[in-house]
Amino acid sequence: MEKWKLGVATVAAIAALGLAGCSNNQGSSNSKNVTMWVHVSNTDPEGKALQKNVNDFNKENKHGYKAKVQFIPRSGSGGGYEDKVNAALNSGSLPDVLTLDGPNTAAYAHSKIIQPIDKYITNKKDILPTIIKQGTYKGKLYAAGYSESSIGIYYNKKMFKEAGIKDSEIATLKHPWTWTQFKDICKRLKNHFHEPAINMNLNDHSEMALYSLAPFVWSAGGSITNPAGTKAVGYFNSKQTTSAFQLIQDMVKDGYTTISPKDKGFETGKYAMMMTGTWEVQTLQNQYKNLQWGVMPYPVSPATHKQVSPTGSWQYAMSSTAKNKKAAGALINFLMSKKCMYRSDMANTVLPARKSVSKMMMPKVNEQMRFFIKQNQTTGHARPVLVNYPQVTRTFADTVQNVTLYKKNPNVQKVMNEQAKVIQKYLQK
Amino acid sequence: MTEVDLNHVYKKYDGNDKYSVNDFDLHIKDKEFIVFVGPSGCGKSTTLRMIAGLEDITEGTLEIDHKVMNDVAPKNRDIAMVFQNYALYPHMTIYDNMAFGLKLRHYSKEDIDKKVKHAAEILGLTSYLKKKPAALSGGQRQRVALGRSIVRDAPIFLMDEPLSNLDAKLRVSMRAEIAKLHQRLGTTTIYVTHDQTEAMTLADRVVVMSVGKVQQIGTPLEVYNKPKNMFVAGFIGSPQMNFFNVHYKDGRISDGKGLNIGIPEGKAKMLNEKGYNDKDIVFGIRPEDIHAEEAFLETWPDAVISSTVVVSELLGATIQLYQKVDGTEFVADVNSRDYHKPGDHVKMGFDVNKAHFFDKDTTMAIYN
Amino acid sequence: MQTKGIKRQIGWLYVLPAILILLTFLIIPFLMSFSYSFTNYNILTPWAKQYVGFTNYINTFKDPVFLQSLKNIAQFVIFIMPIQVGAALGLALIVNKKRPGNTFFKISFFAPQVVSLTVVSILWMYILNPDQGLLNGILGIFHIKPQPFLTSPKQAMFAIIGVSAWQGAGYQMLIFLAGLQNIPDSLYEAAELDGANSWQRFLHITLPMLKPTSMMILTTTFISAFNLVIQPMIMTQGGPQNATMTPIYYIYRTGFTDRQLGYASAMSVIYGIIIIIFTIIQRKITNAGGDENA
Repeated sequence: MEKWKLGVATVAAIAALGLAGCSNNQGSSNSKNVTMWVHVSNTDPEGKALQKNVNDFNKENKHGYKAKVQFIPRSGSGGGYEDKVNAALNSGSLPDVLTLDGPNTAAYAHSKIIQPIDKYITNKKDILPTIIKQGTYKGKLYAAGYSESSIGIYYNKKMFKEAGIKDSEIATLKHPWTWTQFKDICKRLKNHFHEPAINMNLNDHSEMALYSLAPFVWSAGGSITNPAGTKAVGYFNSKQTTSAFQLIQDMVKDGYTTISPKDKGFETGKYAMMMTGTWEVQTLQNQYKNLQWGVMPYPVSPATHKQVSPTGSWQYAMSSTAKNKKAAGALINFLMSKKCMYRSDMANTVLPARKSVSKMMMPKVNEQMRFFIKQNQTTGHARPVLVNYPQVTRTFADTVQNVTLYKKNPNVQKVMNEQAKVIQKYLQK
Repeated sequence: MTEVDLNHVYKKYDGNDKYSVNDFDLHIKDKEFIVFVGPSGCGKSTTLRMIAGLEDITEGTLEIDHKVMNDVAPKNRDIAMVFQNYALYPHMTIYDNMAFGLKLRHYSKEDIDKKVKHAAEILGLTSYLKKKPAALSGGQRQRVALGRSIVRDAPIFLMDEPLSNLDAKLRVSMRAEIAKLHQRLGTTTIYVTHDQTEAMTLADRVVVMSVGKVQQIGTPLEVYNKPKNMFVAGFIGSPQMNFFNVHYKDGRISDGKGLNIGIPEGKAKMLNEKGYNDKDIVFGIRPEDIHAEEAFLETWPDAVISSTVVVSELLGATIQLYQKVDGTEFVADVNSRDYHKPGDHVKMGFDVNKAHFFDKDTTMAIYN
Repeated sequence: MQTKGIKRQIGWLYVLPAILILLTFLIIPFLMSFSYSFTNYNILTPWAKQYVGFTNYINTFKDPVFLQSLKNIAQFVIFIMPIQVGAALGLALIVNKKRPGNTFFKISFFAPQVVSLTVVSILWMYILNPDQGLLNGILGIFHIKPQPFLTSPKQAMFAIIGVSAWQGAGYQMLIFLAGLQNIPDSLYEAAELDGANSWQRFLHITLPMLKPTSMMILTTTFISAFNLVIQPMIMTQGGPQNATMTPIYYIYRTGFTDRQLGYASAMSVIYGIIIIIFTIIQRKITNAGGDENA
């Protein structure tokens, strides 16, 4: 008779434990408290710097606000962090402040998950225009980016010398290559080494495709959509946009680049050039000390000579459910201050989002970082702010893959026409 | 004409240091029914499998019709075999089971049909042809296994303990079937069993084996009446022959316990001539040669002993009396008229004309 | 003494945990998904979902990517069964004979199973790299042109089929091995005496005796093939040109990356129904085969 009572008690206890584990309520009944979620680990340099910044906020702010940070390291492409945010959406338990990747701004703003923070951010003029653009949706500033990013063309000095490329022929910010010169250099490298000249990450079908290759489109004077983000037909398949994709197809067809680059091919001296981000500087300095290398800017369209480079990274945003907006806004603004931004950007060796911070950083960083900061600030172009960004960026990547299959799809304009229609579908929503 | 010759055949498995079959030498005549008999592990199945080609021959030659077969593949030896567990193909009908070998040899459809139906008729399997082995009883499956061999028209049949898996009654009736089959077809047959009854009833000649060696080759009557050594004497005949360790002196044998009897003159003379006077030897007598009838007891008073029954097993027509006198124990197989229960005191007469004597050390039988 | 009533209560208590788990993780989500399929549920605006009737279902049938994914999964299922099961049987036959180094080979053939599918996918991406990969290097020794493998719309799915078979064959090899060892040696001996050579013994004894094992393996391969998602997700992201897009991957991407949970739910309901239909058909076929042996 007693056994079944014991059984009920056990099951009830287990159920209670389970439910307790699920619920995660950070009861913010005290309105001076601000909760914040970040996508990094507190053992990373970025996480450590952020904790220091938040501690300073708690010490220095005159209103007695107390901020608490929860570190939710993401898996791979933001999987773990975004899942948690999505789950919190459904249970109404979003924090007051959260970090947010650039491309997600429009979707979150449109869904009213985050609210405008215009009035809380001071000294907006000092913030890079690309950062402001990235966080703006329908004219309002919804998110503030605290670091920038860039891509450069790394090159192997020794291999260049061997192929007979003179120092005077190296591209610089003042004298960038046109696409024609770029292809010519590639030809000489390929003929000398009988390998593709450059690794352009054509095997990466993720966000990297749009991020690293859209500058070619923009340099040619093309675009993905119209400024309002409502039309793709006539824009994605314009002559200018098409010319950029024609360049990519030609590069593959002529063997100057490959759709299946070898991992670490540049670092091991197989490819003379590689298009990649600022993080590569650390890798080369720490693991490939013997490699003599430099960085060059994006080549420009011969028709326009316009210099364009990619931009964008993570931002701070305020959730729509934030109880004390003033406190949350104060936190974001504090984290966006010169001192905090300098601390976190230096810790992570990323590009600054403020002009003043870049001035502070320039003398402190190495030659290549200086190059990136300059390229970012003079030629940076923000990615489009679209609600259905995931679908659009994927279509961009598909388009790249399609044109690289040059035997199957020799007519680039035809591909662009088809793909423009696909993107258009995603814009009508 | 199919003769099989095993010339000094030896078998040793890799990794063993002892031979599994030692100097097996036998000439099998055409149409003969030979039985290899012996306890488990004596090498009889191994020898059979060497004849079939399922085992390699380590030394010696196997000849079939005077052609050396050592290196010939089993399928080319034209031998049919019945396995202990029948080895019927479970997924084929009885018809297909029997037809399999013929199909492989590209016989015509009509030929196959004729042969299978004929074999089925002989074995009474005609109504089962469309069934699968799982639907048949043990005895029926055994007949199918036989049928598979018949259909092949092979000149040699090998049978590896085919009746071991059947119950007692079936065993008896199947024994008769096999005997009838052999009479009808006349195929040279080599049969392996551990059951001495099967050997005695079926064989033209018996090969008694033990621990890899041939103990004796002879007709059933020969190995029964004239066993060459104690092993054969003890193995053939049921219940087993009684053995007594005795001392022989001047025409009398006694074991110093309850046994003290005189033996016939002829046998005494033989023992003396062979130098066994005043020596320890082994005296053997079969249970069926020990009698309880008054008539016998009166005729041979010198071979009578008094004993007490320990266990009595009534078999119907006969009764087996396990008895004890002093320390000596023995079994007598008598008519059930002479029924006795345990504890009874009885008088038993030994038919010493049927006595067997064995050398104590070599266990070989002592004969003229 | 326990009355029948108490016994029944205790019985229910025993199954309660399992029922709770089934309800929470299977039945309720399934019902929720079914209800979402009739809405325009977007992950970011759960409160704003509206009833849209059968729109999602109609769109599914018009969706070229979904239809392509059905073609792709059909291609996968049709080829994986003979290739993987055939390989498993072949390996089992090799490993069944007593040979030196048998244990080593058994372990090697089984080893891919131990590694996670994700790691296997990444590993094979390196091997199949058209420029530098091991496989093209080996083909080069035989003077075969380097193949595009995962970068070709024609070859990509076959490359994935090969990788999947490579990983899955080891486990099924063990099951076949057990089946082979259950075949009595005397059957082979009887067949040998009947005049059968190795190939005939394989055809007339090994294969028929393995029928129940084969049926079981073909069934499990068939069912699990419909779930293909990891390999395309890691190796090709569904490309090139959707040549390796599978229904499960597309449903996942539509629901979580593109945030259209309503549409994805409708697709999952349709796909679920397709799988159920095929399962019923396949059961009828194997049951028909099973009865033969009764």
